[in-house]
Amino acid sequence: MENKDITSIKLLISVGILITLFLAAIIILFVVYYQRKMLLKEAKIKQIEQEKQIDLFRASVEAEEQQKEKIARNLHDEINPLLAVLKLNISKHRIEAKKNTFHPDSLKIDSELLDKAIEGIRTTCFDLVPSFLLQFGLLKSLEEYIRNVQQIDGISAEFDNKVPAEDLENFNKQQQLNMYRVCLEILNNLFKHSQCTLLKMTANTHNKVLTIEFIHNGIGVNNEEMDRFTENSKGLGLKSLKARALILNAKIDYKKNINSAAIKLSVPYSNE
Amino acid sequence: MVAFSILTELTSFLYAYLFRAQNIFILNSSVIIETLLICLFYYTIILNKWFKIIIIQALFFFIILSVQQIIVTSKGSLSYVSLTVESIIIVILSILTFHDLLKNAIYSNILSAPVFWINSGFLLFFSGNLLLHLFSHYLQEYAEKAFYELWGFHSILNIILYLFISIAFWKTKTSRA
Repeated sequence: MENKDITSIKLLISVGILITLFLAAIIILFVVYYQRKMLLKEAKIKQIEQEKQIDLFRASVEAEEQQKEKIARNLHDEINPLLAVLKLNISKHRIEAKKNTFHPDSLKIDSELLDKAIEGIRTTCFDLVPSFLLQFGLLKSLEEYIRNVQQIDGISAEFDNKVPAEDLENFNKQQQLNMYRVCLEILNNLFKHSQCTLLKMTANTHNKVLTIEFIHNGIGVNNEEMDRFTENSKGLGLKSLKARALILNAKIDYKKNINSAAIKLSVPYSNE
Repeated sequence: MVAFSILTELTSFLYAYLFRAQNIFILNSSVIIETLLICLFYYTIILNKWFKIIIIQALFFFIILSVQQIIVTSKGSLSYVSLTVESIIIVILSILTFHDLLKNAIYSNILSAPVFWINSGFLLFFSGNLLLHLFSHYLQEYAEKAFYELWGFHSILNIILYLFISIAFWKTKTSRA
């Protein structure tokens, strides 16, 4: 073989080796670059998730503050004036008694005022923690609520409760209260926006998950729409609903069909 | 791997020195064991079960081919077919390992992972040697001088490989510390 040929073969192989090495180096650099990029992306996703959590936490705190404000307003605007009037009446009765002009019939108004004050206090207490819930538990309270709704709003509603009492004992009072508030928020939203006339609620447990389902004949939403509503909502209702669901580790699934729609609340529990 | 390389070099040197005979068969056999060890390394670190199956199949194919090559090739020459196939297999395995590392994202910083350095070393070493092994037989036959000159690449790549393995050892030490 000629020297010229040998030199060109040598050059060719050398260039080939260098190109292969260059490609291998590019692969290695790409791996490093891509991994860095992936880490940055992950960190960004984590940050967004954290911001969402903070947003939800803020919503739940604000909801609590609003609740307190509402209670304060109830006490100040409704019960306080009643009691003030009652105090004035009592002073008036004392003067009347001194003058011997007191008539027992005038106590009827006082009694009515007292009744109103008692009712107001009861409503406020129910807003704080529903006494029925403390006494009879979540599902009975929901049954009671549904019964009231039927009477007041004229919606045909039924509640099919298949949860054994011992299964409900796996949830403490705070969890039951959270579930109650979630259910109430769902029902309020249903009555406000879905224009439903029929509502069927079912509750059952399966594989350590308590499921409460709301099936109605109104306008439904799906999960994507609900996420969008929650994101864009300026009110606290939907955000506090999501926050409570997060606290309970619960899942809320929204489905809609042509004639009906359903909302399924699933709350896991452990027997420990 | 490092211990095995030292052992191979030492055995082949002693064999040639003491018996004054061809030691090529030691190097030909060492290619099989070397590939076996590298495949074992990849089999241990790769998480994807399909990749593991590929490793076993490739190794099986390689062993049959290498044994056949040892029988067929004359005692005085290196089996360049085995070396070329070994290079192709290891290059593919190292790329698959990079894919596996990225997909499973086990390491927060890949540069501190010993596996990354060993794998990079193998990729550079075997991809660089691929063409050299492919044309070695031809060069040895028709341009022996050029072959020995080009073999310098092999030595440089050897240095790079052991440098990368050293970094991997160092990273193991620092990550443990």
